[in-house]
Amino acid sequence: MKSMRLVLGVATLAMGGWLVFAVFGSTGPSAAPAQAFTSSQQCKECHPQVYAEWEASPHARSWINPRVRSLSNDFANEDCIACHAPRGVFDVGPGERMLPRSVRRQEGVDCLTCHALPDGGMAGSKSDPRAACRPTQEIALTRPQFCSGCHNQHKTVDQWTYSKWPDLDKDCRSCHMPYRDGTPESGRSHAMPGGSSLDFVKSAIALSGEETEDGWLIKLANVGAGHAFPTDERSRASDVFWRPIGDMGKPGVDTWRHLDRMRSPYRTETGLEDTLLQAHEVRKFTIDDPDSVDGIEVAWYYMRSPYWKDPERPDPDNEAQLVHRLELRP
Amino acid sequence: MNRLAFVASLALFVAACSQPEESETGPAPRPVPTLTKVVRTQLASLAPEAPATVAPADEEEVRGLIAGTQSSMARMVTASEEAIRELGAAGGERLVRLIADESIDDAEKTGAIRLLGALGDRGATEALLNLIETSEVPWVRAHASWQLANVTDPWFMPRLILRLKYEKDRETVLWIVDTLAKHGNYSGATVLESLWADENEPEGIRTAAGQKLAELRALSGAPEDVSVSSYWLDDQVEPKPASDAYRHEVWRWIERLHEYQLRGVDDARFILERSDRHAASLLGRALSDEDRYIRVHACQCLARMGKRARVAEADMVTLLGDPIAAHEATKALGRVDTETAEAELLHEIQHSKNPEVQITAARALRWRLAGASQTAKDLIQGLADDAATLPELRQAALETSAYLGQLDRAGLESLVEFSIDPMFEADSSVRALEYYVATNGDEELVRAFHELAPQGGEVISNEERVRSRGERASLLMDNLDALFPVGD
Repeated sequence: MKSMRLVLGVATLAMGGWLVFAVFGSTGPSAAPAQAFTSSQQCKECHPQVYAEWEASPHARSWINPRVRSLSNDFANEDCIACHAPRGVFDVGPGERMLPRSVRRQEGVDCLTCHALPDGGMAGSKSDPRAACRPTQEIALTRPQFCSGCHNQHKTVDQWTYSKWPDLDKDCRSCHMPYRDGTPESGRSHAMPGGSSLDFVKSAIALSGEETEDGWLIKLANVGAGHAFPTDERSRASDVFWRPIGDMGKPGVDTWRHLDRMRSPYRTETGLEDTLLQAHEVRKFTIDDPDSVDGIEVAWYYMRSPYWKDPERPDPDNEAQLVHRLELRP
Repeated sequence: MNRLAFVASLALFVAACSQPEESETGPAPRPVPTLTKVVRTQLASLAPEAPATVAPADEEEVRGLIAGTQSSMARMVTASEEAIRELGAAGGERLVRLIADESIDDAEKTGAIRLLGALGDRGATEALLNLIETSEVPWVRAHASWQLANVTDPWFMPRLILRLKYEKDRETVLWIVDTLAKHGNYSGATVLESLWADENEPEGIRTAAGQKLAELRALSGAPEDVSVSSYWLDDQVEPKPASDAYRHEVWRWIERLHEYQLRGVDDARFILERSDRHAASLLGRALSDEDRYIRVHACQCLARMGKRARVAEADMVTLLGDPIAAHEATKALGRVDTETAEAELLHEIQHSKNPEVQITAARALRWRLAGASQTAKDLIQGLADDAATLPELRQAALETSAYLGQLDRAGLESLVEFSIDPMFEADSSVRALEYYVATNGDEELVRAFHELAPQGGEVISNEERVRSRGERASLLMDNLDALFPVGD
């Protein structure tokens, strides 16, 4: 009984102290209750803008993307899972190869993939002990190496490393996670545009041409991608076609003439060369054809499936996206 | 802050004081496995001696032996084969040069390849493999594959298995499968079964595949009512003794499971999961390697080896204590389909602190099918019935219930809900429903359910996928009374 009284006395004192602190000691907003995080859905409440950006991004669709599902035979090819439903980057360590997870795979490359720490905490670009997720600053989160666990499988980060971009202080985030309104205060967008955004692709490459003594000089330039174009996926390809100016407006499948293809082949496609347009590369072609004397039309297409329905009669106008187009006249 | 808060806090405190002490602590966590440089050590201890460089044998002499192989007299052919063995590595060196010589005609090249097979030493075997891997001429690859059947030490098997992944010429594929089988590996049976079943294949290839399949059946001893590939997957074929050279080659591919680039890892996985029980045993030892990628990927290989992986069961159980690879070990244990594995999976479901492992273990029990114990069935049923179960664990339990044949009406309704809930990964639930319908539905329901599967082109849109799932779900809900007649 005596000990019970002692316990209650100590407890009452502690309560009193807590009460005094609660009434007089608090000056700013109180900390949100700490939470354990098991799904990215939980991030939505506090980070609605980031969540909405991510939700519409290719990362969020990495598990449900129809093309991926088709190429992986609905992930019967389990080897694709490590990057399309990965465990946390911090679980393996930034720069290390990813490992597959067995749960929540429909969330794809989600908030937890990048932000969850192995001890249950959260990584952020800054620490905040009052947020429900109690993020701690992890500078690794901002480095290109952080993306490489998946994106260097096809050497994208290596391509950046060997380019001029690191010297110009441009990294993955400069293009794929820009500040929302150009200022650090607005935070970085998590929409992460890439090859799925036509505007983004347009800004990466430039098509130009001029008349020379030898014929029409066509220049294909990788001006904006921090890596090869296209990159990352063997399933992506880019093709350039030309046709006599007189054929403009006619069905492309009957008139386009193939000029160049940029693609890294699958490993099973023996005999095909890697023809990606490297960072800063300018590729030149001269068209000297009797049909080109009155001028030519040149078009640069991009496609997210590398195969034409009929390889003998490619139909880029219906099977690919037009990125740039050029008319050259004498 | 007010009086109410104070009173509430005090009440909470008193309530806490009155709680009895928690006595249930559960079993001790699994010990973290001891990890060492297993692969590196094994590679060093089994490394074959580098072959000595030898001058090629006399060209005229070797060409004479090649001519002998083209004789219609069997003893001339045999004599040529014996003579090339007497010349040894020097003879092999000359044969390699002759095969590479563009002025040599095809008949002579065929004879040279035959003599490489008869020679069969390390250098000759390497030369045959190089031809299979690099020659642009299909018949050269086919002949080289055929000749490897005569080599007595099949250390080369992993590299020959890999050709099943890359070889485009159908006839060469048939000879690769044939040679693999003659050395005790029937992993090519699935290729033959696909060729035989594919009506788009040329009739000649289909016929040849059917004949080879019959030969494989006779060679393996598979009964008529079991496919050769199932017989192989069920570990019914006794492997041939393994040499140190073979083990070294297997370790060499296990080492590649560590690589950063997926190409090497994918090739290694392709080979290892198609390899024999000896390789499964080595993969089991690799589960103690200090490299986490080797452990995880070795587990994935074992999970795809069927019952051949049973030799590694104890190693998989040890790996359950590894926080990085535990869920992969759980998956692999499911596939070996033994009572021991089942007991370990039940333990993980009940005691693992990692929900991912619990969920994976619940799913892995599906492979027990009719062999599942009543304890396993009861545990799965309990998880499936309890609405308080972690939703993903409940989903896994419902799916496994479908495979174990114990899904009741309420369970089926819940599983159908999971299959259309965008918050959950639906694929595994849809597959479980497909299994359930195939084993419980009448002919008409099976047909209707199948017809509602996405029938689009190469790329099925998400909308189409969702619509299909919805329609299939509705079909099942409409047929609940037929599936569960009142009074049953």
